[in-house]
Amino acid sequence: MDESVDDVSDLVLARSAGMGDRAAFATIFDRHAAAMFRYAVNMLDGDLDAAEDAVQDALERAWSKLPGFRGEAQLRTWLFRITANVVLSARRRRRPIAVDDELLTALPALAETGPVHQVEHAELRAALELALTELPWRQRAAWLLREMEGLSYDEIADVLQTSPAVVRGQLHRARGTLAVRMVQWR
Amino acid sequence: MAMTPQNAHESNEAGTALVSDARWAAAITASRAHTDARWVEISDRMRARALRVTRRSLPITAQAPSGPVHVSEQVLITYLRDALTAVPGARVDDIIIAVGAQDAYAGITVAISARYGEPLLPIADAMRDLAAARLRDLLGDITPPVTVTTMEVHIDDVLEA
Repeated sequence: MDESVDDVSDLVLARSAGMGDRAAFATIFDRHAAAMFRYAVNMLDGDLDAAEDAVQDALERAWSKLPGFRGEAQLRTWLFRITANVVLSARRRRRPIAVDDELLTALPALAETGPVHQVEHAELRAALELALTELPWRQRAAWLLREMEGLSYDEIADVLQTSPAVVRGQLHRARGTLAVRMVQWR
Repeated sequence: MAMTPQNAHESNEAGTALVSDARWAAAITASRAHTDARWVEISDRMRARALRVTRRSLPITAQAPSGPVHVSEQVLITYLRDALTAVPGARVDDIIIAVGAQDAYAGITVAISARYGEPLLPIADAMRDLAAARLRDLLGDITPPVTVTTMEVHIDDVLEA
């Protein structure tokens, strides 16, 4: 119709991209690719290069599969599902790494009168990312999709191809583990 | 974390109250900012690469006096979609190419949606005529010739823009 491509819904964009409209796909990229990248980075233990490769792969798969997208799921959920599958494959291809002793010991707390906020936030981020690496894959995925990206239980279940009840349990366990690991930051 | 009452309740059950909500929020914000900073560096490159990806497409064969005309399904769909965007008040939702034996072109179905309140039949007529004209431009004098002899208006759903 006459509206700008930036104003149209995800479903309309997906249909247009499915018919070969690259401008529509560019808008899909602008709306969702950053979140896909955040998810990939945290699922791949902070490996930015691996995450970039995974998201590129996921986007290429999405472009190829868009003609078959019929809107049964939200576009965002569908894209996360593709990303999750690609990331899982990438994790399986990676060589196992030795667990650093640092992962098994309590994280140091910052002094109350610590350095500037920027440094504190960098350490807080590092602590969170380190704690995330200790979570089993599905718990980590569920936590990231819920807390970082704000997906509902139903959407997470769709991405991870499980049930909302299972997602609820995974989130519960993930939050418990993270709380213990981050307790120094209370 | 604990951005919603539901979430806060669950957080307490799980023991995440050991860490304050403000700390969780700060940690999540810091992690997002860190990743997003890298995203700013790479997104243009990734966007360009993503838009260069090609899509596999079925071959379509039409019979012309001079011999068979081969065109990819994707070319046909893209060409038609681009042409049909010229019809005001409506949008193309899907274009399906029907093929017979040995990839022979057998017909096309164009699914459209119209803005609420627009007269549907004139829009459908305009779409049909334009689609037929563009197909004739692209495929030439094929056998059987490009004609539009049937039209179906099916009101399927009401969608947000």
